[in-house]
Amino acid sequence: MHNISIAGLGCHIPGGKVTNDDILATVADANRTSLEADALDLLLYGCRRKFDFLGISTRSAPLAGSDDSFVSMAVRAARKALAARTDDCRDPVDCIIACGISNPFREPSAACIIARELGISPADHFDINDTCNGFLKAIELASLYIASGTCRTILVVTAENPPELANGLGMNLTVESVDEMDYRLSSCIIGSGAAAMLLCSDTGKHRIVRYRNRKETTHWDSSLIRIPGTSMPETKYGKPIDGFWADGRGTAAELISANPAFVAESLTQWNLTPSDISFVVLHQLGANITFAILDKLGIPHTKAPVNTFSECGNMGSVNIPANLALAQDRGLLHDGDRILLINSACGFTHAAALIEW
Amino acid sequence: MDYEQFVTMVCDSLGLERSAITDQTSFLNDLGIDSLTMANFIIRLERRYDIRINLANVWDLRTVREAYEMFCAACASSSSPLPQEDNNNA
Repeated sequence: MHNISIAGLGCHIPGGKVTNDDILATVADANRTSLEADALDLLLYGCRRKFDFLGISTRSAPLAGSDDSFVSMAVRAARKALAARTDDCRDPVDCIIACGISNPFREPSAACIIARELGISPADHFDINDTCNGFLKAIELASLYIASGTCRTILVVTAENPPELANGLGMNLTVESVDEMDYRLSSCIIGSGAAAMLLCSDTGKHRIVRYRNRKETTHWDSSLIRIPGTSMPETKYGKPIDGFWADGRGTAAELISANPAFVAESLTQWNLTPSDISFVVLHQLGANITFAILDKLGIPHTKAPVNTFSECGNMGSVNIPANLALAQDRGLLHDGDRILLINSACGFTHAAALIEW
Repeated sequence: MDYEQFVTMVCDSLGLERSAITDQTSFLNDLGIDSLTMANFIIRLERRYDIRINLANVWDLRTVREAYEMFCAACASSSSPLPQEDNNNA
């Protein structure tokens, strides 16, 4: 990782809200004919209590009748980042890197469409996919491009709009048993949003100075989105599956045990201790995971005051940059702060980055 | 329900050996019980005994003994008396 600076940051959270009751109504409709009444009752009670347990009340979603989509939200976030551009970074954008798990585009790239919508013609634009870690991986790439002189100013953009993808896949929440719902719960807690970050060479302020990730493939099927008709190796779910599936129990256990160890190791490599960290921004998977990671690291919860999960749900690759942008908007970031970004993604990926504000 | 009966129910519900559990056994560190599995266990407890457990306390739940104390507190604050052991599966 070569030091780079954040020259602009912005996010867009759509104004629509999907409540727990909305989700429960969908689950009930999907299973009314397939489950016995007692089983359906237990299914709905279990879902409601798990929402309580995770601390989620709503999920961000496009407002009915709005034009919020993967592209339009990405463009809005990008415009905010460009409008916030600092005076020490005035070179034109010469590269756009787009990411997002729910990126609906295979051809052309989302980055190409976003550039056109922004009315700019960067020399380079492309998409990457590193699932929930897409944004941090794009920052790492941007750092290499800027350090090599390939680019001077790079706009990293991400958006998530799960309903767009789910509708396209014809997804539903029908389950064969109450227990199976644990594998579908992840699709009941996802939200929409977008974020963007303008990056340039080190200006001495708002510097991204460290990035590490650890990847393994043992849990490759911990979270899946399978497009109907595509081939996939046999999974842990024991039957052919379509749409969104995730092993919530296995994921929580793995993250709570392995993610803090990875972050602690990163801090040690960076010659830092948890007490050196001023502010923490975490991936948003639920209060249970957030608090467990902080507790294991010995970092007070007060150092991670911005957590959008309860209102927005899990916004995938948008979580980290959106929560950072909200922290900035709320005046919570101060010169000299050491900001630790803690991320995870299916596969698994563990990632951490350090910003000196 | 006394503590020993509660431990038996925990073992039955979570598929654990009785010998694996002491007062200080940690759900996460010793038994590998993740938070969502714990939530499932609590949901079944609530349904079976018609009680409501404050999920905010679950974050601090470390040991089986603490789980029993939380269960007793939930029973005490509900309108029904502390449940007696039955032979139904949770």
